[in-house]
Amino acid sequence: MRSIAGGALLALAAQAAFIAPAVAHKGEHHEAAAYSVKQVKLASVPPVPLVSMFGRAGRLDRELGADAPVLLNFVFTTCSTICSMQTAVLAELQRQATAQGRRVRLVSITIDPDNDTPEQLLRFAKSFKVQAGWEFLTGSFDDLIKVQKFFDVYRGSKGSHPAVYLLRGATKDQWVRVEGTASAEALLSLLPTVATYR
Amino acid sequence: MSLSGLLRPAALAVLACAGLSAFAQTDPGDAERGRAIYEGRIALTASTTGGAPVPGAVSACVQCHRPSGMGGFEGRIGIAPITGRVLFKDVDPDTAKFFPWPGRVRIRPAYDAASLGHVLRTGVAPDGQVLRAPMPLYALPDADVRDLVAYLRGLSTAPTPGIDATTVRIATITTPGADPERVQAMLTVLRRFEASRNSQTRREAQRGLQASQSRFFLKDSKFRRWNIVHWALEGEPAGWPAQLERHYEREPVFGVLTGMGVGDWSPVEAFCEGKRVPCILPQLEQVPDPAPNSPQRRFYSLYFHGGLAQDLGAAIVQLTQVGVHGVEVWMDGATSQTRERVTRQLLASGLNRVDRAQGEREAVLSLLPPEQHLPRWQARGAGRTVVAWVPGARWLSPQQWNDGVAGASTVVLVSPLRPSEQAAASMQRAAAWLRSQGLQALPLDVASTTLYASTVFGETFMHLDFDYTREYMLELLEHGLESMIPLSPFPRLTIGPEQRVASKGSYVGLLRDGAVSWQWQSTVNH
Repeated sequence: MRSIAGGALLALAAQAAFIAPAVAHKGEHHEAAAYSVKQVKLASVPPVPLVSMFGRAGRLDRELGADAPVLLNFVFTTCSTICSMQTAVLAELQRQATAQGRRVRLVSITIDPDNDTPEQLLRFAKSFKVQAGWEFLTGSFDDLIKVQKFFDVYRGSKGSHPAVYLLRGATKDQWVRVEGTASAEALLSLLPTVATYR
Repeated sequence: MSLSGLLRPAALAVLACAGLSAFAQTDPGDAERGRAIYEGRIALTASTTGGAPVPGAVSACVQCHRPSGMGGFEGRIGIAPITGRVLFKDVDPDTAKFFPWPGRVRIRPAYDAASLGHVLRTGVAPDGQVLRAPMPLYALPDADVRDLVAYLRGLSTAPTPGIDATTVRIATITTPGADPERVQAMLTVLRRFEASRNSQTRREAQRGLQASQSRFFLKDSKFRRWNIVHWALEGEPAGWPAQLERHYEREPVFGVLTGMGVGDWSPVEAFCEGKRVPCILPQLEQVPDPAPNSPQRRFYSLYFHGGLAQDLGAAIVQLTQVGVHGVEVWMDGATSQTRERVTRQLLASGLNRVDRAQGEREAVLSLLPPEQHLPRWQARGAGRTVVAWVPGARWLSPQQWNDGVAGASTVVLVSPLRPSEQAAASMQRAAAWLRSQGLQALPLDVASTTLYASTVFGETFMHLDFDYTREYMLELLEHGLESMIPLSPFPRLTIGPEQRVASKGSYVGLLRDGAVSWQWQSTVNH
């Protein structure tokens, strides 16, 4: 892994395998403050049935198939650490994207369907003032494991889930995997604009 | 991640800080107000390191550092422990020498009000390190910092009741009316588990004397002897709080391991929450309703399942779907609290009570255990009747289920346990242990459930490592419960912060082509 300063400045075009922490921490905590970026090529998104926070029936391939840049993450609403901070970052990203006139589709999928009902997801979303264009989704336990495995974020239990954002790149099978605690600006800079999207 | 993998770094950090120089306090601050700040009851202005605003509920210290202050892990992101013993003590190079990997122990001076205020506002720690996301940055006035310091100084530092250098005392609680045979089975398994654990404890303590690297384990008496006491509550629920108080005063316990109750368990829950005692997986007919809008009030009580309310809810959904309007309820011997609960739930659902169900619009709704239900069903002479049988956490064979509804035109079966064959498979491990103990005659459902609860308690207790606080135990379970080996007939058990009912649904069995077909009904329909 090579270190460079200012991960957020890196554009998608750089195609770097990894971006290491701007400052490498030596310490017992907060060492995962920075993030890595990896290009990944995935098979076609499977048609897994999902349910939105509004109770609408959906399908994973359609939810992620929008003609706009897509940013996906995995959360659970009683998560103590990662999910709330990621959601706060994405709420900021959504504000900035709107201010810049950029279209971004945000999708947050729960990894705790036993507890995260559509109503619970809606409450969680509202607490972050999420705007249109951002859906929280749930589904059956088994289906959601399939989804997590597809995106390589399944770690056996919800408490072990990695802090990952998945950004759909310039083509529909090209994804960018951001692992760690990237800022809203960093993520936004990694997302293709609608103009470059094809 | 396994519990052990999860905990080692946190435990290490605590150990690294133990026994070092004391924190010199100059301004006492208001610890109670500090607690309110810590728990988010006083809203904070916070942002991510990237400048994104963080909502109040999320930015509360307790959100990540948790009620124990022991922090935690999610994925690869670690949250540092900030208990009184950790934060306000130096971590010096000498401490690091104790570890086989001294380079990984961070050297930093003790925090004080000034340096804590600085790190909260700027992210810069006293050793110059910059704490990054997910640690937010806070706009905190000095007075708030002083109050927070006052609270944090005492966080998880008081001795925990029920535990001393060599022994941990654990209670199990039963209420009157619980089936004596099943209570006895539970107690027998608990006694055998205790004896088996204590015999192992002696050996491990001996081994620790030989191995220098075990001294930390010995020091903290990781292998304490268990002393399980049985608190048998008597009389009406109104008298239980005083009885619990007396028991606790006479024999303070670290925690409560399983237990058995019919009727209202809420006096026991109130005791657990009030004394801050972990009450782990009691075997109940009814589970108290959660206190509205206050998840923190149910932190210490952990349940297998939502109990009667959850099962009855599932039965009502099914009965309503097949067009039933009225129900003849069988609940002989139920406590007044159970009757009240059933009446309330039926009333809310719009189902009427009838004396004798007839036709397709009325159903028998039986809440009886098999030994009462079967003779009554046979005596009734079924005819074309709709029947819903909700026997609670009793494992029944396919034959028993069939006999219990024989002759009915429409059948709804509800159970919190896995369907017969699946449950039998998960109980096999427990059955093998029971055979090895000569206890194979015990009812397998209650015995395996007790063994599972005991294993959960024991495993988690072992992983407490260097901070034997009760809050830490619950927090470990939030992460670790779903990774425990399933021994009981209950389905997937998982909790989390603000989740204290582990199984969130019931199995519903319906007659299809003459055979019962089971499916999981979540408390919500996806």
